[in-house]
Amino acid sequence: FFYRPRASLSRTPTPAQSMNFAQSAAKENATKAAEAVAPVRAVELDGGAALKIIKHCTDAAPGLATGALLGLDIGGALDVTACFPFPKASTGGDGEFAYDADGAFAAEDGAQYQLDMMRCLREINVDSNTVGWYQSTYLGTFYNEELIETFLSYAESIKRCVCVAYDPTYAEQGVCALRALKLSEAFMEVYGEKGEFSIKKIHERGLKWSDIVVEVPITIRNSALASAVMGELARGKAAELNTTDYDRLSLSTAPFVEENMKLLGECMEDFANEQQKVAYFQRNMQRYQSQHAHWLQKRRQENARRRANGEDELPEEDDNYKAPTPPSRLENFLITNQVAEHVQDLDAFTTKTMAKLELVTAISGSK
Amino acid sequence: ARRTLTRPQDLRPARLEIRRRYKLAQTPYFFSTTRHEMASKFWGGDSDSSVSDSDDTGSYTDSSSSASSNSGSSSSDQDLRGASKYLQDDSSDSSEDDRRVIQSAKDRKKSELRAIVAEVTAQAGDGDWVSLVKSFDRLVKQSDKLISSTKRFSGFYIRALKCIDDAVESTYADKEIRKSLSTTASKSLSALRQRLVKYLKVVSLDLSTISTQQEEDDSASESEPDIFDDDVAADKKDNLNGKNKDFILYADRKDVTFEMIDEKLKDIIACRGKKGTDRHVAVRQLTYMATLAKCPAQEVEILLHIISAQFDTAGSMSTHMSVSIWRSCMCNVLRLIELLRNNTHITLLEKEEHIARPARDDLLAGAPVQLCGSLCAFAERLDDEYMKSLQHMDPHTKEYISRLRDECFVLVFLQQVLTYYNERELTVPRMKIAQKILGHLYCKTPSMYEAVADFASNRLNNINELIEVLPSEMCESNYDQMFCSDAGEEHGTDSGDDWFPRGFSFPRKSLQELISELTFSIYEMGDDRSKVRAILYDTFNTSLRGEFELAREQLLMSHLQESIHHMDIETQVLFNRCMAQMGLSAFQKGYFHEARACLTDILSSGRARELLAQGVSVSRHAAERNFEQEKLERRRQVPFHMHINIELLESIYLVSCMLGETHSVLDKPRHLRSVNRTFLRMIEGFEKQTFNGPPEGVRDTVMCATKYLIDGEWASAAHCVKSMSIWTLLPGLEGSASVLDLVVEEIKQEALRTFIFQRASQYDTLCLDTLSDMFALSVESVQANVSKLLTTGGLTGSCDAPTSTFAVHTLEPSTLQSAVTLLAENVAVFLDANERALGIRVESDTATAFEDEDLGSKHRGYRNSQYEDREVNKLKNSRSVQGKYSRQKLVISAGERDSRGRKQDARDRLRGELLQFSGGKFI
Repeated sequence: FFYRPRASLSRTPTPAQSMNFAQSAAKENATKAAEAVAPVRAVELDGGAALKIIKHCTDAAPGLATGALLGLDIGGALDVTACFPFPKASTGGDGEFAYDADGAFAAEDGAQYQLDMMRCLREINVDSNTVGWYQSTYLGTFYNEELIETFLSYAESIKRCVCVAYDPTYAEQGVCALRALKLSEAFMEVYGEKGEFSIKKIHERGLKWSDIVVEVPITIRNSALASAVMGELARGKAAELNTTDYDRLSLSTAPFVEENMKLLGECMEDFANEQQKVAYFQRNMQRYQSQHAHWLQKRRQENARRRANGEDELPEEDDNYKAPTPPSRLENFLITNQVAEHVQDLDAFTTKTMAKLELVTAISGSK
Repeated sequence: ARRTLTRPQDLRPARLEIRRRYKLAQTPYFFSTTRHEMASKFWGGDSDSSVSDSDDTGSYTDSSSSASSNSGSSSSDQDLRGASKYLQDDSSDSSEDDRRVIQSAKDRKKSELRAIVAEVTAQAGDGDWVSLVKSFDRLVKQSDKLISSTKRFSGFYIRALKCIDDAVESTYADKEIRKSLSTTASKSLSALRQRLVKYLKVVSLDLSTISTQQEEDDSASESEPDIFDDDVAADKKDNLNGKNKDFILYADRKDVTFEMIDEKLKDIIACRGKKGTDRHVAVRQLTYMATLAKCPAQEVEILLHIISAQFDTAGSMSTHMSVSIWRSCMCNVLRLIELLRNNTHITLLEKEEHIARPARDDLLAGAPVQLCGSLCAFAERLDDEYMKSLQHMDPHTKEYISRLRDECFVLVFLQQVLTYYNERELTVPRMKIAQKILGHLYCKTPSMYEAVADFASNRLNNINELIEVLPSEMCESNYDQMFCSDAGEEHGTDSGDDWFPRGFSFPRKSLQELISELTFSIYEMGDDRSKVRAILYDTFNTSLRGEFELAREQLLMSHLQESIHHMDIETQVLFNRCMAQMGLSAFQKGYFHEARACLTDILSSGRARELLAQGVSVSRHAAERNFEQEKLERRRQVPFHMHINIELLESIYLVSCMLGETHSVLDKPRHLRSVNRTFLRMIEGFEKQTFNGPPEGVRDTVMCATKYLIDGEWASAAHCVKSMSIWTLLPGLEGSASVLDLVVEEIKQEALRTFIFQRASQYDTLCLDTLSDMFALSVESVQANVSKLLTTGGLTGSCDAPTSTFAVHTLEPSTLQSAVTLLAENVAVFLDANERALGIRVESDTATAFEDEDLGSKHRGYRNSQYEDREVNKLKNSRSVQGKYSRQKLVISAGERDSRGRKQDARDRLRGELLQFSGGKFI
């Protein structure tokens, strides 16, 4: 069905791909689409589905994995009850599917696979309503144009859709690294129709960089039976420490910070690139303005002369000169988001590390 | 011959008419006959055109010659008129008269015009349109010349015009004839018609009115003398009164009076600068007149004019005076000096209004005279012309060398002028002349100067020994004789060394004495520019003599390097030359660092040629430079013999770079601050090459040596450098050998430094003895080098004296640290760019932009401080990055609001935030 390439591959899905999904999804959700749309406020994730996602993503690491989320759309809350993985992309750089060398066929096959899968699931009475997709990510590097594009193509058919991102590296630190993301309404309005993202529009809406993607609170809900089993398992062992708890005390911080730092550095480079684009635009704009002013002055003089001679005036618009198109600000915003993401991670991480350090110092001091 | 047998019969009526006109002009009784009658009469029974052709021409020429004789001014007529015999054209004159017969210019023009008129009328009669067009142009030109003097048209000229007009119009009107003409002929016909109409319009001559008057004119022509005859009469009178201005040139020497000379002088001066005056002729006439001068004052006056006239012959600023004129001009100036010295009552004034010239008798008696003229300007101009001629000559010819020989005379001459001004104690010209002399002296080594002095005194002695023959000859010779011999000289013996006047000797001072004397006088009295130039001349010469230390001190004391950019370009060129020379001499002395410092500015830009004014470089922006600029640049060029070998400079520069900077290029962490990017780029370029063949050229060789040096093969590097053939050009060969030893020594040391930088991290300790073995250096020098590296911070380690080793403390940054430094750099770059972007927005407000700049530099300072801090705690790091990030955010948000229009607000806020951060958190 819908193949999501690895984030680092920077391959955008072709319209054909999104259309495949859009058509099929439209059929599937013909009844639901008619209902009034309210924004998603919360995501409830079924325990089984959550485990499936985690397993899929962890297995795929260090590669990236994607899959579909199935479930119910109940008012403001999305109930994700099931999920299935998309077939794994080959490790080849161009994002082909492993079982097909030809990209186009592969994409179709992917779509076919998705439809088949849904049908099969429906047959065994699983919710076969697509509510979004999940993907694994590496240190929060998911802010890119592909994410936006995918969201938009999903949004064509399902009004409420989420992306569940899972970060295996965070999970190693003993955190639940599941996050549900969606595009903000404001951004959808600005960006939605034409894909144009100019400074003017942004200002009209008062859109801020932090307003593009919003995180939806996620809750994991288990069936009563599952809760019971869990309770049974945990009984009497609650106070005991296990290896995970000890792992949390590890003082080795270098790899995580290092990676984050590198990524931050890359972000800054991207920023610099964007800035160059803007500077280039500014130069062009200045040149254009001076040229245009010159031309306009000449044209005015010419018109004044013509007026004096009683001739028709020439139009003051010029077709030959076109103002340079300003660069899109989307990338800029996304990079900013990415930087924010990294910095938050670092912040959280270093806070914890500080606490650990304090602890260690205290312990060694008391000895 | 001009006519073809294919010519159709139809042409005949037109020709006929023309012929009729001429018949009319000659024989009035034909006039009553009508055209047809006449035609029938003229042609009679003649029906065969091919036969008649020859007859036509015959009869026609007859008629034209008789017509011209009728109008009353044939040459034979003139012969009979008394004074006019002087006015006969010189060339055509074969009379045995011992006095030359002169024809006035006007008369000559007039007779020439007549000749053309005859030709034109003949052609018009024949209908030879092709040649008629040409002759018509000549006719108009000739008549213009004449009209400029007579102010009216001669009758015969107007008649000729009329004749052409008639012929053209009648032919043109008849379509049949026109069709029958060959294409070239018809083209010429229409062209002629157009030109004629245009010309008549221009001179506003109406031929139709004339044609009506023609009969009367014709009839009256014989009785009434032409305007031409009046002129002749007037000329005759003039000549008799002795007022003819050219007369003086051919008159007997004894006949010439003071007034005559005066008159002629005024005449020549009046012609000066006018179009059509031959400057060379003026010079000749004046030169002759100088020999006639009645008193010193007059001679001085004439000399002044001769000199100016000689300068005029050069024409434009871009060409130089011819060598022979230059030489005679210099003689004239010397003669002028002599006259001025011997006759103290004559003074030259440059600017002020001079008092009126005393009357003739007073003048002859030796009353004080003030004349207008500047010896200094003459001397400067002569010197400039000398330099210019050297610029223009091909330096590889004998001509150039023989011209170079004149330099000693220039020096003698300038010395004379200087003495003249010294006697009169005029500071300004003294400064100027002193500068000119310095300009010749500064690029000479003492030995060169000795050679020049010897050469000069030899030649001057030779000249002085020559028997005095010329003057007596001169006194007797006439204008023509004088210049007949002169012309022979000009072409024959160009390289003759004996043109210089007698009685001069070369100054007996040594070069250094002379230079210091001149420079000190300039330091005392000169203006800023001349002082600067004097310093530069002096410094150049000092470093040329090999006294680098002295030269350096001189230059440093002058503080010129700070203000030289405000000087004029010539002085800047001189400064560059001075620096180049200093680099050379520093290298010779083994001051490699200094040599590099001297040459960096000149050679790293790749425009050395331009900077030293030793050739116009072909720049990439050739289109941008306009013609004027290029001309100016050409004018600035230094003559070839004063060139400093750029290849030598380049090799010195590159070798110095190699000796000083190879190790710093390898010093990766400090890479960014490495001074010499050009050298770095060269090395990178060399390393990028796929194959490195045996080195060719300076750059290649040095790069090859550098590569060896990097690899630690100092011996190969030394061999590479030593084998460069360019060293033979290094002044003083025995000196250069010792320099090369110094270079080798330095190569060893640089190899040691490079080795330590590259490989030290692989060792815990390094033994000084081993190092000294490896690089064939003494232990002391190894110790010195290592200690220097340790103290200057390029290397971390410590010396251990007892074991004569040094321990290396390697500290490679961890990946985290390098990631952090990379990030810090990126952020700094980003911040800079952001400030620049903001700067564009607020550039109207320069003050704030400046403050921002200030802030930027603070951040950069911060970056550097962080950069060096290799022991950064990672926590600290992450924090600072966080902090930096939040600052980044602020910048971004402020930037956004800025573009929203509230510029001032945004700027203030941004500045506040930046200040807060830079003040509080980071610094």
